[in-house]
Amino acid sequence: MKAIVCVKEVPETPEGVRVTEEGSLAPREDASFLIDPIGPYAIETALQLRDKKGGSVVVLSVGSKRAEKILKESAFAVGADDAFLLSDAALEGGDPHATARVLAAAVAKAGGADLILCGDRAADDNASTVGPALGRLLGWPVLTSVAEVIDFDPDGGKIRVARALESGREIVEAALPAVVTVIKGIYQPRYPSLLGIRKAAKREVPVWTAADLGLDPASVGASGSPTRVRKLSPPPPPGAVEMLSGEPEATAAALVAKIMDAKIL
Amino acid sequence: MSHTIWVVAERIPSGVTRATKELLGKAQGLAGGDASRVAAVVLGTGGEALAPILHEAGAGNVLALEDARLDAHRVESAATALAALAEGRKPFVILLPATVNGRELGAALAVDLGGGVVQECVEISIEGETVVGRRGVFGGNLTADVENRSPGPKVLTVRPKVFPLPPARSGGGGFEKIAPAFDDKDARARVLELVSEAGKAVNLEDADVIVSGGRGLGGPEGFKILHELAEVLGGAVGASRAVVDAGWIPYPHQVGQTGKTVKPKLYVACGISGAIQHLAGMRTADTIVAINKDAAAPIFKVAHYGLVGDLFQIVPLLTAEFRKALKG
Repeated sequence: MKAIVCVKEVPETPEGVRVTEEGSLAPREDASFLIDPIGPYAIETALQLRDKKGGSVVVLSVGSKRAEKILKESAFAVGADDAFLLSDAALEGGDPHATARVLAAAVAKAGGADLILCGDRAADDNASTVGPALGRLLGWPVLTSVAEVIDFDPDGGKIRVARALESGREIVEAALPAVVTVIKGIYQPRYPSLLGIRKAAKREVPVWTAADLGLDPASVGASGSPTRVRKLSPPPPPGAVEMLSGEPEATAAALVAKIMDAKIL
Repeated sequence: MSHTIWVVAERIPSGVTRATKELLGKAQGLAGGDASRVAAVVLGTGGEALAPILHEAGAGNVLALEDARLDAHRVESAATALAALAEGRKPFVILLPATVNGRELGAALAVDLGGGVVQECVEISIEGETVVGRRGVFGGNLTADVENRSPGPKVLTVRPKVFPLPPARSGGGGFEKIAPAFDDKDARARVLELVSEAGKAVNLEDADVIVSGGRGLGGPEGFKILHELAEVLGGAVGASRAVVDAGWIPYPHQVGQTGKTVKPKLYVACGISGAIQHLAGMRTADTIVAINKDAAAPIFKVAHYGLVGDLFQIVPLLTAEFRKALKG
């Protein structure tokens, strides 16, 4: 069994995020970067499946050189077998679709997989797009918003999962290889052991460039992105709060009267 | 150039979702009120029965991709069938509701069409050949205007409950049944079962009212009075991350989950001080009431009405007052 996990590095939110007057993201030297909080859940899911079925777990990340850190601390330190950083000036500024193209090429270079795991939604762009786009590029079944892996049978080439939909739980069976995006709560991510951390610090994270992946630079990064963020803006400032004070009975009645008068309900 | 706008209908046993109608209303607005430029696309069997509902909501045309295999929605066959239809007819924009399935299908469809998707838009504008979607990023801490520069149809998903239900349109419209194009390689995933959790599911994103609790509740039993208020208001119960982490209430109740925002008409924050992630997740509510014993709590900075005091006194009083007021 081979599982490939895709994770990303995000700035600490919202403390590390600022917007310039022109509406672009301001570089902040002191911002800290960490693994996207959903990433450890995807990694943990792969490790759990490996614990049961044997095989290997490979972790990929598209990002700057700095993202080597998350691959060491969140992938190697918890026992991932391999990790590769997909990093190149040509890849910078890519939207989720350009990122999915890079990952699809890296999956091929890594020799394919039975299963790819991604987070359902990233903490920065909140786009929920890379997973399904990647599955579609590879021509594999896509299973998003997965809350539970009910059965995983790599020898029989099948996976059965529960997806969390607005209306309930949907049980789906798919042929492998497949792409699964996980939501929080699927498995509790494990903590790295001290030994794991020490070993991870010594491991090298190989870097694959656009050329290594056989990608035309025009098809990736900002130039290969069909969508583009034109402008970012902070949320509108809050209006003034109306404080209601006095005896609890009177304030409760006053509040209910205001809500009813404003026809909010 | 007369651009057409498609809305991919989201089906439920009783017809189509409210979000589908909201999108048809928005589509009509984008088409300058010209319903002949708005089409609803229905997947699966029984599309004809839905046509009057879709016409009334603003679709001048209904395109039904009629095939029993599309009934158990799986994204692969739906994307293939939609992409083939769109490549032939070249709509300018394709809108889908930004539900779990809609986001999945939107991304897959955009890939098939050689372009990109802009997910979870709260506003859409057309500027010549460019379509711009406005959406929340960084968990609602920032708003992004995102251009969809796809060479073919521009796919966008739209958050439910952002646009109003359109007024009923009279005059009917066209209906066309089309045999969809897809093959067995698209059928490698199948839905076995949908375990409906209607009634007990926690669906904060759809709730009109959310009564939410934080550390001020003192423990899991504190949620009892919140459930009572929520029941009277027909709402859902939410919670801060701190109390979810403490195990007082399960994760689906958490407001301010990674990247998720809620948009109820009324949000009642009880004993929540207002951590920045929580505020980002709920400040999109129309009206916010905060109840806290600490007058300096950050929650009051985003609230419309603030009550400083003991929530164990105030919440049951609110329940009783609302029960009286809503009966009349």
